[in-house]
Amino acid sequence: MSSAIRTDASPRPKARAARLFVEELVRQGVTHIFGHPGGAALPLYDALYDTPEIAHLLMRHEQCGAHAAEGYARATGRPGVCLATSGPGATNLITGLADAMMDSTPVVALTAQVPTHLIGRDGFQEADIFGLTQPVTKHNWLVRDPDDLVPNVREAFRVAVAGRPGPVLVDIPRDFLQAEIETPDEPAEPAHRARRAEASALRHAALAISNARRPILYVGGGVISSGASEELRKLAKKARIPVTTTLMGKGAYPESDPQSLGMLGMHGTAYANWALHESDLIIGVGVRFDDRVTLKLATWAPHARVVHIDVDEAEIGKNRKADYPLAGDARTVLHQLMPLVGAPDTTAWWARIEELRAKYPLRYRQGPDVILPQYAIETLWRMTRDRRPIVTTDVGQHQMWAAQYWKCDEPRTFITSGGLGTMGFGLPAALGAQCGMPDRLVININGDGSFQQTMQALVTAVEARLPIKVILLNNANLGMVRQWQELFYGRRFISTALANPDFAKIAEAMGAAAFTVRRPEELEAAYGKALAVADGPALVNVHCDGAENCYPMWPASQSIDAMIPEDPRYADGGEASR
Amino acid sequence: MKRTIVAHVQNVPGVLARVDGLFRRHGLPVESLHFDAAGPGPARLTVVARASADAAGLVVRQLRRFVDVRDAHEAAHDPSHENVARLRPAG
Repeated sequence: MSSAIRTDASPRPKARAARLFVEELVRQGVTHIFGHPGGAALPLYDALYDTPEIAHLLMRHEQCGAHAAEGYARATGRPGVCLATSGPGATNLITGLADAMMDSTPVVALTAQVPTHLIGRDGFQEADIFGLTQPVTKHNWLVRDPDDLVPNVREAFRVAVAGRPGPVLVDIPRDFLQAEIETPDEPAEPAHRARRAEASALRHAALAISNARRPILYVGGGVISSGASEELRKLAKKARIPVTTTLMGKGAYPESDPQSLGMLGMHGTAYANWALHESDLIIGVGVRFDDRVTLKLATWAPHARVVHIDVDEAEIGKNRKADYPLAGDARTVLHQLMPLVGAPDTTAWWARIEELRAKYPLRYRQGPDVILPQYAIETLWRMTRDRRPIVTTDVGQHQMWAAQYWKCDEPRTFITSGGLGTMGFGLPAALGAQCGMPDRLVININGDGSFQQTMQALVTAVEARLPIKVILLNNANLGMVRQWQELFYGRRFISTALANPDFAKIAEAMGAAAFTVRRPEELEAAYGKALAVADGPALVNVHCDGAENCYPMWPASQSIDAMIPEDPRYADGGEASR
Repeated sequence: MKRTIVAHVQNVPGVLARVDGLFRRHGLPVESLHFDAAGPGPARLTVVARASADAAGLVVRQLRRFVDVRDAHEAAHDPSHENVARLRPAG
């Protein structure tokens, strides 16, 4: 590595570009790369051979690499790095990049490209990755000159975390990696300034909050990205405002706190949704008023004015008009707001909220024979909550039940695919999270459908001896699709029943510990055994009720009156087990 | 109605596709597109497209997010922009 900022104009010593590139990754603090090699990437891999500072995890599909990088980033707050070779290797990253784009996750994707003389000539394993990934990255680069290599990658790491985080991609022709280039200067310290809100806008918003009668905080992933949980807690406590979080915002505010209303939206708590509906002021922080929250914008929260805090100016007013737009970093803006906000009188509002909470409890009926997925999730939560686990989920019913029943008290402990809804996300994301947080218990709650999209990531977890726990809620169905077919397509079930393999056998064949349970009373013992496995992954195949549906459910594009607050079977007045 | 959006961009390969990509994603038909660059470095891109005020506003804000875009704004519509179109997308 070069050692000092050079002030003279003498030529700097030269070295292999791939070597300097990898040294720059070390300088950027990269500890893990989730990748898959191939012809064009070989010079990079050759340089990694001599780089003990970086562990390379050999993924069995590049999509797994991208999701693992997301898991690493979401658990640590630092950019996750994935690496692929040219052509199909690089195109396989696209789903993960799109996922990271939707969920504002800082991922640095590095792809090797065919040598420059073959670009645009349909060379073997050539794909226009720069063009293909433009819509799914915050920014991307095709390195145009070997001397741009290090500056481009520095810029990539800066852009990934600046402002609203997101994925970036650097595409590097193979011949550039093999070139001899001048050793780069030491990087200048990036001047990072969090964006502040304007004083007059702040005063107006603070006044609106102070005078509100039925205010509610609606908070999302932006609070977690910005590290604003403490500022959020202070504001919520000072003004005694109830807090509801989006799926991405889980953990931004402690869900065991009485002021938490849990998640809102399509499968959120009915009391959070009704509270939003009746509120007179919504304070949206790091959220985008997306359709899984608002369902039908025209009738959503009709009595409320809106304070909208977001670092991305393009989000403000995109879906719902903001009466008090506050463009800026969530943490900074909440900090600015604090001294200006008085305590509104929310006594009557809290009485109403407690009424709603009592009227619409979140509950299920666990019987003696068949395991309900909600029970499986809540049992594990109860057994492990003292260990402050990090949970990743996949996508579908199990994800929504996890969002409902897995109570999160701290940020960066609930990692899920929110915006894109990517099946296959959860297992590789758990792998990445465990790499980033080696001392934490990492649990992947998965479904049988989604597990089969990326289950080969389990092999990598075995190889790297990562003690992740995979809880497979196996209802032999693509459950959420089945639920829609049942409720909205006249029970015409097609292509949703799964003739599954024996997942415990598969996991064992991959080298993981595996346990199977079929009855409620077997759950705790199986969880106990899986939690005791320390030298590699463990999977618990939980056979669940395939007919159970996820409620509350607020159907897409409909007004709140259409929300089904709980399982219609409970209308008989019988007691739920919870 | 017709709207004119002006973006001050860096003239690097791919910047046109980025900007056009936004119009494509929003389904806004581009009627003319004028790229004014004297080589690498700062350049000015003028796009005339049919869009509602809402859509144009969102496109402008989303344009500003691009690393290669220094600034973007909606300009008062000037019919002469339509006569200087040097680059017309097909279809």
